[in-house]
Amino acid sequence: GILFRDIFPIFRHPEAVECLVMHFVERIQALNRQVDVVVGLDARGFLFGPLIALKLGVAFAPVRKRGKLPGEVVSVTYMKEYGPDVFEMQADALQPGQNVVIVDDLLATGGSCKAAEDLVAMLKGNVLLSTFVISLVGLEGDKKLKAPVYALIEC
Amino acid sequence: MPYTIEQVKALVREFPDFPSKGILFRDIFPIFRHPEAVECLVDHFVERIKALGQQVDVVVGLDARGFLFGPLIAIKLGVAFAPVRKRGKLPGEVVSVTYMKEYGPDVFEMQADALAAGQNVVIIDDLLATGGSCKAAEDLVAQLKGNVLLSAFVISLVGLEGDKKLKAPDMTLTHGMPDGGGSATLRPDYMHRFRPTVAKPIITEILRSTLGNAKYQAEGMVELSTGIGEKIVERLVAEPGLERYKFVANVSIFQNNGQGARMCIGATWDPESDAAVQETFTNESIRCVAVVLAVYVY
Repeated sequence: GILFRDIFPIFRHPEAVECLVMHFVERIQALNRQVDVVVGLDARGFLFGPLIALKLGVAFAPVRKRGKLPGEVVSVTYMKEYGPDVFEMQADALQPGQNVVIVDDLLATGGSCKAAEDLVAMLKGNVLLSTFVISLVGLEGDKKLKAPVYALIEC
Repeated sequence: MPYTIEQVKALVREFPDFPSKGILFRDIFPIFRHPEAVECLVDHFVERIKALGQQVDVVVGLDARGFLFGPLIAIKLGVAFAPVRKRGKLPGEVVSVTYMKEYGPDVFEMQADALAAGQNVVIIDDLLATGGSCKAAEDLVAQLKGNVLLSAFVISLVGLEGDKKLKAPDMTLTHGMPDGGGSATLRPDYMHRFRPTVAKPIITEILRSTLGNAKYQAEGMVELSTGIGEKIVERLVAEPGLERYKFVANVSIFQNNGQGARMCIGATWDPESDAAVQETFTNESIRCVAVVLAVYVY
């Protein structure tokens, strides 16, 4: 019953990747706020996050499943589309007061992104925006989230 | 502020006993806290890839840390990026292979249309350990009839010989010992460090046995000094535990005319791993000074 959206074909065309990244960057710059860190969700957020961070000239920090990140971490339990899971972030990935943009490929129920927002909040960061390639609008994931959402494609 | 590649290497952080006891975890995420460091790293890889002099069609990155670097490198090269992922993550038709990782078997997959037959591939991941994952990636590329030109890593663990499993050449930014050993991954621990106290008697013995009662003659001194240098390097290269050292032996032979002479030479590149050793030999006719530089290869 799940319709999978595959974003990997975008990466077969470097000009498409460039276009996508610039599109997100322009949208982020239009916020007219300083962005300090791009936070990307494991693993498909890792594809876009560093590209966006580099274009913005800012840091990139990962949110990963439990047990993957070394050192001191903050963690949160969340419900995904298909069961509960634990996400973590390194405690020194953010300074208090820093502005964050969250990046992932897909917004579905919003569980993963909400977990990321919670982790950023635990580290006293501020989420300015969450960006996605695809948003499944029917699932109303954006309603779970505190920060505004931007998606390239709405299904 | 531009970064040097040495500064990038220094950002890699170590965590002992993670994810389990005995494993020294190398954390590459600190690199991403500094966009200039990421730029430097990506440019470094891109230059090495371009230096192959062959057309690259696809950069293949291993889930998940290969996803951090792979697209960046692919974009700089202006080529496609394709993922290798754990079983069940990629939709559509896939090719798959089972492989042994450091801690158990696993299945990797690649989308069947990620590559066209005959395309040239560079594989990217953060770490080369036993080589199991990368070998699996090579096998997947081969199943799709692609050619792996190079595998590139941020870190390679020495001693695990991961590169021996791989068909294609590999390059790495920095090396490390699997369990860390001494205070820093880059540098040798005590057992693998060049110790002058071990080298000095070796050099002294070679000088004495070669020069003994030799007389200084204008002819043949070049060959003599070169020969001594070669013997010294040969013996040091064979010393157990010093496999990662490069030795330079500088041997000077003087005529002993009773002239006073003092010579002091010291040279180091990295004081924590490199050393210089000097030994002198004198008989009635000859004075010989041998200086050996031991440089650790990272």
